[in-house]
Amino acid sequence: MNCKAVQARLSAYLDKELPGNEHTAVRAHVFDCASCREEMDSLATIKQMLGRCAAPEPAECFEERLIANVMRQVEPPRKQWNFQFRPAFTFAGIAACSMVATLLVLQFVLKADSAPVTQTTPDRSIAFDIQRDQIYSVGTDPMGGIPVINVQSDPNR
Amino acid sequence: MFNLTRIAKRVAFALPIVAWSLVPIAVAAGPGVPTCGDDADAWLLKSMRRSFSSHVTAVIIQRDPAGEDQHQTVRVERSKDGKVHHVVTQPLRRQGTESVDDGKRLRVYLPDQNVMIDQASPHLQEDDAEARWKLARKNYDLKFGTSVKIAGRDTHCIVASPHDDRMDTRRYYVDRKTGYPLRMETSSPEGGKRIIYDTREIQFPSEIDPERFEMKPVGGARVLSYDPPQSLKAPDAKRKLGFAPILPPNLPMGFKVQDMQLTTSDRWRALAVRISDGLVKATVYQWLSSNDVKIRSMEMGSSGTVGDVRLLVVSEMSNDIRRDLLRAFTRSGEIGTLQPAGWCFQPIDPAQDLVLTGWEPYFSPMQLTVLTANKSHSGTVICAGP
Repeated sequence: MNCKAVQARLSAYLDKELPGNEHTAVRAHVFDCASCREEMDSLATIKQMLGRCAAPEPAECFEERLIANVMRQVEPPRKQWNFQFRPAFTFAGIAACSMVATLLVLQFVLKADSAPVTQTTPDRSIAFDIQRDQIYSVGTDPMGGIPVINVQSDPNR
Repeated sequence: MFNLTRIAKRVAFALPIVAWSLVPIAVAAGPGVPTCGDDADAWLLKSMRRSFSSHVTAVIIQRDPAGEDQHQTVRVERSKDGKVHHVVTQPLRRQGTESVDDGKRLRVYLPDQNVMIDQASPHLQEDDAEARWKLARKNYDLKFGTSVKIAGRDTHCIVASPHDDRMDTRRYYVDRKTGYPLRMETSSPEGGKRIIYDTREIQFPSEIDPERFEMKPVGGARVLSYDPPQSLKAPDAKRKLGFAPILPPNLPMGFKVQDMQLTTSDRWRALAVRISDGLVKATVYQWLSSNDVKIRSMEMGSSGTVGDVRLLVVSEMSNDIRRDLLRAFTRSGEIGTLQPAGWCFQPIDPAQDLVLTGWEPYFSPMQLTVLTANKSHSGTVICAGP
């Protein structure tokens, strides 16, 4: 990484926002390059000075007003129902009741069939069990690195 | 329908958090504790030990399992008595993943699935820091490297250079006053560097709210509870699993078997052989292939089969190293199935990676022609016995 590339990344480097490899590369470059080190020190000083500036205080009652505004937008408008007994409503009501009843019966009937299906075709992947076991396993070796497992989609499934 | 695959993915994301939760446990004594002088070995041991002397709050970045060059930000709180709380704050797709270890139970909450995994705390296991440290000293040269300032703290850099050139060089940056691990980097033999974790902010407060270390399922979260794995002896393993565990007498790269544990779930029953070279850890899972389970392709796993036994090596190490470890186990398993009753074969010369590949009768019934091989050649040896 050359000086130009390093200096473009110095701000992100100081804020620890760079990905691992870039972070390491910038650090190595700054270690050797006096010019970039000077640039970095100067940038760090500016950041520190800016960091010392007091944050603007919100106006009084800001919080209450904000919450009230949000709540006004979140609460759905209440509908005024003007329910009148009409033949159309009667028909729709009967149709809805019969549909619900049918669904309930179907659910009851299918319930008996669904159980064996679950038993014969369970999720046989052990990825979850391995990851859970690894969580337990790392406890004995805290400095031994991080046993990261990244499950990919199974091409056979 | 409860989607275990999705949960598994979320657990994968939670793993580094939990792993990090264990790093602070390795924190050595806090300010005021006798220093380790100029001995890198002693500083490493200090950082490996489970001792607690101060509360810690920190913000760390950590390698993201989803991407080689991506990191996630985690807020860490640790109490003096070993309780740990973590929350992922970045990236957005992981935000809110949380874990609490109160020293007895470890609970991991996955917000997207509204699932809480509840299992025994790893802290209940025996602290084997000293044994691992001794093994690390055998397998690595430990010395101080160039120190840097991390999160405003002066550090010691402990460089662990492996004796085996296939392994990564590891750099641990620990706080000069407390021994707290602030950064860990690895360098591969090819020169690739990776930051495994790094500390952005750290404080050692005198008080910490105990409620930070409580986690209760709310909002209808589904709780998945699990028993901890049980340690096993070889004869018990055979009885409980239906096969003799495969345990090579010698492993490559200085790895040693640390423990054998029985791990069970409603889908799976396996032997987990924990191995380590002192600094790096791996698990070799073994189970009967008649137990019809699927191994989804794993970035951190290498699998094989010996007879009726399936093997899976899981570790953060490179593919090549995992395969070498797997090969040691499969060879050992093959010899185990080949050897005649009463004979007990050992590797001929582990230094040259010379192992047994089979046997044939010799002229005398009390002798065998043993076939040997390594990467470059094969040969025979006449053995007497049993």
